[in-house]
Amino acid sequence: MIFNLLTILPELSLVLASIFMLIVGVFKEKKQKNAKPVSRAFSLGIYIAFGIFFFAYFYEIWVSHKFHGFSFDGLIASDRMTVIGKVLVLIAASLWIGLKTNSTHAAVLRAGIKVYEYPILSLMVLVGAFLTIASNDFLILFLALELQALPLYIMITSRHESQHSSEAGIKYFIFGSIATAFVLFGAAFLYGYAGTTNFSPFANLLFFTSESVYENMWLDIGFLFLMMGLMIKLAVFPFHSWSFDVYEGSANVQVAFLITVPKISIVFVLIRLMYGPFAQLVPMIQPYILWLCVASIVWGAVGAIKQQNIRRLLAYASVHNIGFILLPISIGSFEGLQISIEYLTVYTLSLIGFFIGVTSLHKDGMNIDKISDLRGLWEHYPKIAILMTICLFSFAGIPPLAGFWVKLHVFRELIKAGMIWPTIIIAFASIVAVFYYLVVIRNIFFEKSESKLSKDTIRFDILMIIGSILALYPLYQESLLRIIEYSLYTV
Amino acid sequence: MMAVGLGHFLILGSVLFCLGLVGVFINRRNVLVSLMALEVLLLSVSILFVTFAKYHDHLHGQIVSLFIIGTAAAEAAVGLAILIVFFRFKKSIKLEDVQDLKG
Repeated sequence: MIFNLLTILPELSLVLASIFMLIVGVFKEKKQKNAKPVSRAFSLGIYIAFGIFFFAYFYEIWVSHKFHGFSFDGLIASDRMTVIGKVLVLIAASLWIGLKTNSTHAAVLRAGIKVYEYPILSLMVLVGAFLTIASNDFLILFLALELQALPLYIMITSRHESQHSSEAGIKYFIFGSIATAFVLFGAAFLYGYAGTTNFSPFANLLFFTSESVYENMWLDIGFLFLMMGLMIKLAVFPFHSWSFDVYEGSANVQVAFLITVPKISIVFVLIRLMYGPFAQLVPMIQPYILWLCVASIVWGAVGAIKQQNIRRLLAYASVHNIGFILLPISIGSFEGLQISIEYLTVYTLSLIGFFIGVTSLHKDGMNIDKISDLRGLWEHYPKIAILMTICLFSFAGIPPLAGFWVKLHVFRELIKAGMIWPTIIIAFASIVAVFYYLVVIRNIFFEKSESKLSKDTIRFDILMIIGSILALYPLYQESLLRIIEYSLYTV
Repeated sequence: MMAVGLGHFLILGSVLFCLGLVGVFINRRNVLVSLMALEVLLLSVSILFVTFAKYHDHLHGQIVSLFIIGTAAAEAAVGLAILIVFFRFKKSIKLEDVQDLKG
């Protein structure tokens, strides 16, 4: 079937949910809106309906494999890789949507986000991220990237009491638009080369072409600009400068959303592009991507040392980790792809765990802003302190935790591919990175605080699950890798 | 007399794209000018798509350019809204005032 609605079932249900919430919002009194975004029963209904829809989608694509391939005339891909990408995005986003049942709601209010539209906008970002992962056409890719980015611009600007928020919004808007324009410019030249905007014909076209693909100027320009656009969005080294200001100007709950959801979706698009249509071109740009990744690993490690602000620190950490995520992709082997997705999974889980801890805490009625605000956490809330430390150690790559194993896999892949110097450089860079995670841990455990730290209700169960997942990683890493491998076979 | 061909339109689109980039990065005065430059960026790509559609002689590229125009309008609306929020705080839309966050 060409038009198969089942392949976009999660997106459809999210769009319907956001439209319903908008309609409900129109008929609400202004006072009521600020008190609670949507009623508990309503948001529970949304969760349950979405769960059923997503399960149906998951079942049909992953298990019964009935609608495998492409739908909507090749515009939407529906293979197992899209499923795994959507599940990852969902894990990353579900905690931060900010519906009434969400425990981060208090942190949202404390950050000064009092607009009713906030959860609706985050649902729309989720739709955009899902469509980005599933896109198999440059037109859909562009529209999905815009659908993902436009609500994010508004979300960041929606803290009405903070002037930093509007500044961060302007910066994010300008750089995000430039990135989309780059992607489009590249897509235009690739369209000129191939005469189609669909990804699938490119693979055959590049494979069976008689002339050398490296000598076609349109193809080269197109591919170069496409990659540059996606890398601006990912904040890889030379294009990273926007991310620090944007993250610092946003609230913690927003950064938790912003640092995971768009980046996961764009990494999956990169994987789809580099291993589907443009596999022939990967050797051409491989050394550049490799050294850009090494540079961003080094820069993210060195630049973070003197940072005081916790979100700015995490922005540097994200530049550092994006390097690790893209490095295995740039190697160009099938194992590299698996390891990249594995690293992305572990990194997302550690980030979520850390942010659950940070957003549940507040000092003098303000959200945690500086690293020194975490002082005295060990005295007051030892359980949160230990679980946050597990997440930080996992970032740093301390042996029994998940972060160590995925870094080890990246190193192993690099050495297998014969890239000794990059391995040595990033090994030293990750030693430097351990230092600034240790600074945070020193503040948590060993420094005395002047004012008292307090906490809201915290989703301790989720934090415990994430902590145990990170700690017991060796037990199930084989099965995780096997799932990823299984999902990638069908790309 | 020289006929205006494919190459000319490609150069037009590319030059407009570069002008848009220059407008975003060299501009030191006004955020509004940046927004206009972003529009130029998107619309130059639209020219490129129409050119390539004519070159390949099918409609797909023209449809894409219509989508680009629609999205560019949405983006301009969001950008102006953000700019209004910024103006409420700063009473100015100068680009020097967008420099509080540094570290």
